[in-house]
Amino acid sequence: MVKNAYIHIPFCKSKCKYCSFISYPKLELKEQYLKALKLEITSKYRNEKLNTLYIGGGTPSTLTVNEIEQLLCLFDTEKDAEITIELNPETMSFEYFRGLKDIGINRVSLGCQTFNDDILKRIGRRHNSQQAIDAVAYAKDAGFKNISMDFIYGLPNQTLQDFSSDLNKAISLGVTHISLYGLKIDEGCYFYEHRPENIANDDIQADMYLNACKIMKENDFLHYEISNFAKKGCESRHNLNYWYNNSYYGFGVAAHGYIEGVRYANKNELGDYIKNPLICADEHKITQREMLEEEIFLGLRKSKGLDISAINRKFGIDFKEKYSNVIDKYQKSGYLNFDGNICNLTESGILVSNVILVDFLD
Amino acid sequence: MKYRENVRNFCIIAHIDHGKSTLADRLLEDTGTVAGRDMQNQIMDSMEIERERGITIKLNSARMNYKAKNGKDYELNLIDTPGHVDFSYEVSRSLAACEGALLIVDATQGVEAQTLANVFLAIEQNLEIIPVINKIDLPSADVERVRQEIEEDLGIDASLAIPVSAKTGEGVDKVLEAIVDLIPPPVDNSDKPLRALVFDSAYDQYLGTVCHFKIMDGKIKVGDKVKFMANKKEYEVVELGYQTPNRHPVDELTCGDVGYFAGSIKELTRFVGDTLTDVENPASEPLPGYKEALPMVFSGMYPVDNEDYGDLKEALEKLKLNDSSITFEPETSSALGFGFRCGFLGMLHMEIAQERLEREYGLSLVTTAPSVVYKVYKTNGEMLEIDNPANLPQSQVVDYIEEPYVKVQLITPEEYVGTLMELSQGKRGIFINMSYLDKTRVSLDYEIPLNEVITDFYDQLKSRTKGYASMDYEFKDYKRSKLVKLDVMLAGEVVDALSVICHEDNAFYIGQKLTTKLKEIIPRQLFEVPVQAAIGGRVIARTNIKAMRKDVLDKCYGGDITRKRKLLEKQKKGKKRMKSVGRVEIPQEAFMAVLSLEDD
Repeated sequence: MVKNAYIHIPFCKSKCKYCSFISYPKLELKEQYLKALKLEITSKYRNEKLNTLYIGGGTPSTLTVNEIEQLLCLFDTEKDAEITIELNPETMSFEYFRGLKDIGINRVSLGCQTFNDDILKRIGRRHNSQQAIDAVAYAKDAGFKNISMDFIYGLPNQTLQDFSSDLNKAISLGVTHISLYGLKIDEGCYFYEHRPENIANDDIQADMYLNACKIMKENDFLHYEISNFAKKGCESRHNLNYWYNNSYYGFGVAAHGYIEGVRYANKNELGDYIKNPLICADEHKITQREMLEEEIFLGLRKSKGLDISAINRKFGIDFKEKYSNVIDKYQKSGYLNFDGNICNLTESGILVSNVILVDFLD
Repeated sequence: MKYRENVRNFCIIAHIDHGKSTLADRLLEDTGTVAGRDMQNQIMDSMEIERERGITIKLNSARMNYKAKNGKDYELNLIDTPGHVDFSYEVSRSLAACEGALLIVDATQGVEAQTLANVFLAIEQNLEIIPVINKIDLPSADVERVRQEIEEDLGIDASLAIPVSAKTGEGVDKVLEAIVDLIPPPVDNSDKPLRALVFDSAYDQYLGTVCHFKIMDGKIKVGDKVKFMANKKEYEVVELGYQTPNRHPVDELTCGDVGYFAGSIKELTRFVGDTLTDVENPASEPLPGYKEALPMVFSGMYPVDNEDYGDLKEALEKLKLNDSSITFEPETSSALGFGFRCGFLGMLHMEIAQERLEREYGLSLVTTAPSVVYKVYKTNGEMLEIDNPANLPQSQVVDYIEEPYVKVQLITPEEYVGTLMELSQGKRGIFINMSYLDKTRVSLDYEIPLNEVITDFYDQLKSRTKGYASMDYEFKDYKRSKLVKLDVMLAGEVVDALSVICHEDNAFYIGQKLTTKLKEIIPRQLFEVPVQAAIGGRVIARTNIKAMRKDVLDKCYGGDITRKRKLLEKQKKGKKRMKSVGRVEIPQEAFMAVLSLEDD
């Protein structure tokens, strides 16, 4: 049964220079988009009681509380469901948070990226550090207990110290969840064409990451997934659902879902989606082999790693035997732990996880 | 003597890029052999690689029917020839099947070194040569100057040279008339026993091995029992025909005709150069043999995946069928496993063979840097021929080594003489002669070790002269040299496939450059990899490939798992193309690194 749903809000007032996602500054299409989105949800959603609901973007805070409420009321949720919204600190107010809280949202994720105002400007963010600090305060005042912040490391001119102080600042503000992403300049973003100077290479990013892991540990954050850290009990249940390779709905333009063994992607052009939100751009029935591979490469993202007996049961394999070469190779070099029941990456393994995951592909 | 009065067999000789394929296209079009709407550029070049690189590698023939201005109908057989310095052997095969040749010279470039070499081959075969000055539509065309060059450099009467533009079609009609008027018809010996000269063979998945031939004496019919005189094998003629260049089956071909036959030949044997005769009424003597081309450069070819060894063997056997100048024999490398030592005419030939093996046979290959054949004289008086640096005996037992030298002819505008002399001397060249071909063009002759010529000489020549200079080379002799084997060690282990033989004086420089280059090419591994170059165990250069620190997908992308899968699959694919040597994964190009040390 599908117990999780993602809703995509594609609008952004402007595009950040490191971002290669699809987003639209055309807020005038908002109304039509929401109409299409509602049509998709009411057509596809089969009224399961959801465990998690996640509104991401883009910038979901381009919607009013009322608009968000109209989306939420389309769903049935468990009492303790995790309902998250991503926010841009730019336009936050106490009233907005209060409104979100009132309509049932219980987790907010703030795209902070850094507290360094020079860097924020350089990377094309619309907010400044004070607005991010204020946003956390408003959220807390409004009664949010579960507040997440996103940070990017390896930004132009950012030093290891800058990044440490970003994290310490966030911790001191009392956030309960932190996501860390290394700057990656993909095709399609502004920086791809206009490569910034003074960006950290992989070696420095590795140092920044390891240093961050240390800081988070010292402050009682659990490193529960490659890029995510949380106070106990504040892990993102929505994202963990991906890593457990469970099913989920994806609603909205360019959204991805996974239902009954089929991975699907919605149209990623806004006009196309509005015209007919029910036609997928891509659908792929996952084969047994692919499912096993995905179970492994998603599962190894979690610090808990893979539950071997569960995998053996689900796929009718002997994991240890099937992957003995890979396990041997990476266990010896200290990148992988394997004790027969659990298989997970070590901290140094996480940093080079692609190399390891690739060896699990057939 | 009787002649086939209405038949003309001719080929086209030209320097690369002078417009041979375009002229061939135009002839096919003008004679209505290929309708304009079916025309694709370079129609004679059936291999994808040929069209992509704009060169002809494999021979192909085409029959055209032409009504001449004298009112008579003629059958014109065009045999296409390759136009690169590596393929002079193939040129010689097609020349022997012709009575005449069109010599194309670019009106903007003039006569080049390779044109000279091919013209001499044609003259040796007693072919009637018709000079054609091409590209007259270009503003920089200088027909008179080129005419003069043809007379002076080639000693050919250029008064009858035909100015054409194969691109626009101007003058092409005159070429067709000249073929009829000037090229002699083939002798009609149709009453003699069959003798047909096989100049090409190719494997076809439906027909088996298809042989292309020219009939010198006699006739051939479908159903005939024929025999290869050298090979001794007998076959029945199942399909017989000519090409336009598509195949057109017929019942009979006669003396002077160019055609093909298929006889359910399953063996992957070599027929090129052989004489075909009739089993019932055999000829007493085979036709005079072809000049055998000897491979000059040798490299190891290994499947990236050791399990593909059998497929590689089969692919090489098939490739040899239509490219008889390739040689191969099994060899093993401690680094690369089981593979083949293959001989090629030159570097382009080698690249093309590798590309064809990968493309047409779906193989993923590692090719080692090419080597020449060294003569190693041991202290016990024994002489070994070594074509793989890894096999060079220990220096203690070596008395001396000889390496092959080639005679290199360079033709260049005079302003580049200085830089080419510098290049040749840097490549250990021995200056032989310099002469002015005309007021501005100079011919430079050197004797240079072949090993130096095959590394990057040609590329350097082209880049130093903005492409204006041309070269041709032929084997000269073996000379004694102070040579050493340079070994490369990765993570402490000698990788035999990376060993090179070089001159003692250059070893230190090459060692430095090679280790630096390998550091650039080999991706970072999970551990630090020392890269060392050593001579006889003495390390002369060293660098380190730092360990990889970070390779992780950290962004979540709203549940887009397919994207993650694709990224990992792409990485997997890249990894599959690498060869694991010990613990180190080495990309294919690393084995060729020694060829591009001067790149930066």
